[in-house]
Amino acid sequence: MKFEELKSQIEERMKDLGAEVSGKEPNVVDVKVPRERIVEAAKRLKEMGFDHVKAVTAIDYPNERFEIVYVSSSYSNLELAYFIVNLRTDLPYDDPKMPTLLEVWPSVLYQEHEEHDLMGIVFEGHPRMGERLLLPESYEGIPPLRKEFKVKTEGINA
Amino acid sequence: MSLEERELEVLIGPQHPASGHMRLVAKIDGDIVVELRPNIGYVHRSVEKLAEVKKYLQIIPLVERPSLADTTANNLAYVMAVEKLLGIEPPPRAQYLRTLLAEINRIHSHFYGMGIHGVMIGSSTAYMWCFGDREPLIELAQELTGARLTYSYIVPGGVRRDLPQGFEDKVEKVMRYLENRMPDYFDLYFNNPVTRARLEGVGVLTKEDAIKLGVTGPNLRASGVPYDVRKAEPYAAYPELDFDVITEEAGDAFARVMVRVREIQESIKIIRQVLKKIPDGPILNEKYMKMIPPNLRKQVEETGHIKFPGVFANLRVPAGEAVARVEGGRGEVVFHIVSDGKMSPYRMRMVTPSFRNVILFEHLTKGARVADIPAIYGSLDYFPPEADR
Repeated sequence: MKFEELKSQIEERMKDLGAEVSGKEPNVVDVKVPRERIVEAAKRLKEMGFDHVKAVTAIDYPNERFEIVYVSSSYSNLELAYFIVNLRTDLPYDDPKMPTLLEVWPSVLYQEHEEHDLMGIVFEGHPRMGERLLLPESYEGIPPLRKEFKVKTEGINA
Repeated sequence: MSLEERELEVLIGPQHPASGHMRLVAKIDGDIVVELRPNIGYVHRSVEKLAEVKKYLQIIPLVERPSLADTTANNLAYVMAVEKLLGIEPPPRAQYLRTLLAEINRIHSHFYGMGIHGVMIGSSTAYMWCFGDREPLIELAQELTGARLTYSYIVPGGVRRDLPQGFEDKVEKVMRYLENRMPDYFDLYFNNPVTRARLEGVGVLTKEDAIKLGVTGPNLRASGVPYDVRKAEPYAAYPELDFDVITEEAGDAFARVMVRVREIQESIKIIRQVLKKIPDGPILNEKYMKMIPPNLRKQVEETGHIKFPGVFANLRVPAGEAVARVEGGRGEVVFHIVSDGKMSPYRMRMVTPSFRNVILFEHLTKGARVADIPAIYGSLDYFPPEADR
């Protein structure tokens, strides 16, 4: 399958969801949807054969927005396995909540949990919200992956 | 007695229950696991956060260390993501050298995993043998890179060192040793009725579940999914090499071990091809090579050891976003880097194979016997520091 062909197929499937589809040659397609449409968008990608998520990345743009990126690809269709589809959405900074994609992609169980733990994103419907994953249970304070959390360094310039 | 009264909570760990610090919280009913939850994070070192305050070159050792035995994959995937942003390609010889180290590393990483698995099911011999036989590979890597495990060999635009003199002969010696040695493992360990009884039919992962849960590496291929990044999105010198993706159908603990054994044989095949086909030429991109001062460049040409051009110290990476993936010994390593054009990444997401596979602890142990927990754990080649990052 060609890059352009896949891109236009995705565009076609996502048209009514208000998706912005862009891409980077030779194999990365970006699909951006509003958060209320993301579950539906994920379902459609899964129907196309994008059956698992390789990474969930939450990006902090302070006082502006959070961007959540689901890096997905295919195991069951080796032709699609060459491609990576990044399903993205923006969350308002003061309300970093979105529905979990666990029902569509069970592979996000730990990844969403990690972004909850370290970035403070709430995935509604995820069974482990409020639990710690990597941080100690006693941790309180700013989620450490946020830009607001400054790393204290040691040495001459500290 | 009601089930609640019969149910017992057993804590396994967190003081190094097997291959690193983690805790397994198991609810058991007699000898049967009702539910098991991995409790991770004991060796979390905040690699992603630290990457935001370190310079691009300093991040290379940072991303390697969590994986200990399987570092080349992290090194390579990270550098590939940076190269995508820089728009830089390594020269062909460097591509072959990257492949060479990656395959040497794959073999010793598989031995590491199999050795830990051996000792977890009570075979000290398998442990000793695997750790002994890992040594010749580590020595090869050391001769090539100067380090035993954390090589930092792969840099943007190429690799740090060329092949040492007489390296091909040493490699061939080690490959022959391995080929002669592998049958011993079958005689003593893999075909041993005790090993078979502990592993066959234990911790079965179906193909559908393997796909659904997004697991990776030998654990995925042992369930019959022929996905290997080296074929799916070929990188380094893999497009020019002939090798097979190893799969097994059973999806049990034994199949997972067998995938690793057969991959060792496949890696031997790849290493021989690399040394036969490796083209002459530079090992660092021309653009960077030109930036090395002339007197040092002469030294680089004579010794085959790269002196970093000054630009590396404060490497600026153009704004943008890149995803890179590499098939490591334990599975697929994914780097997702967002750059804003400064000297450190704006955001670096690093997803390691162990973090992808941690979900299997809860999935595979449900309804298993307590005694099978180590057999299942070991078969996953799970490494806590790699998962926690």
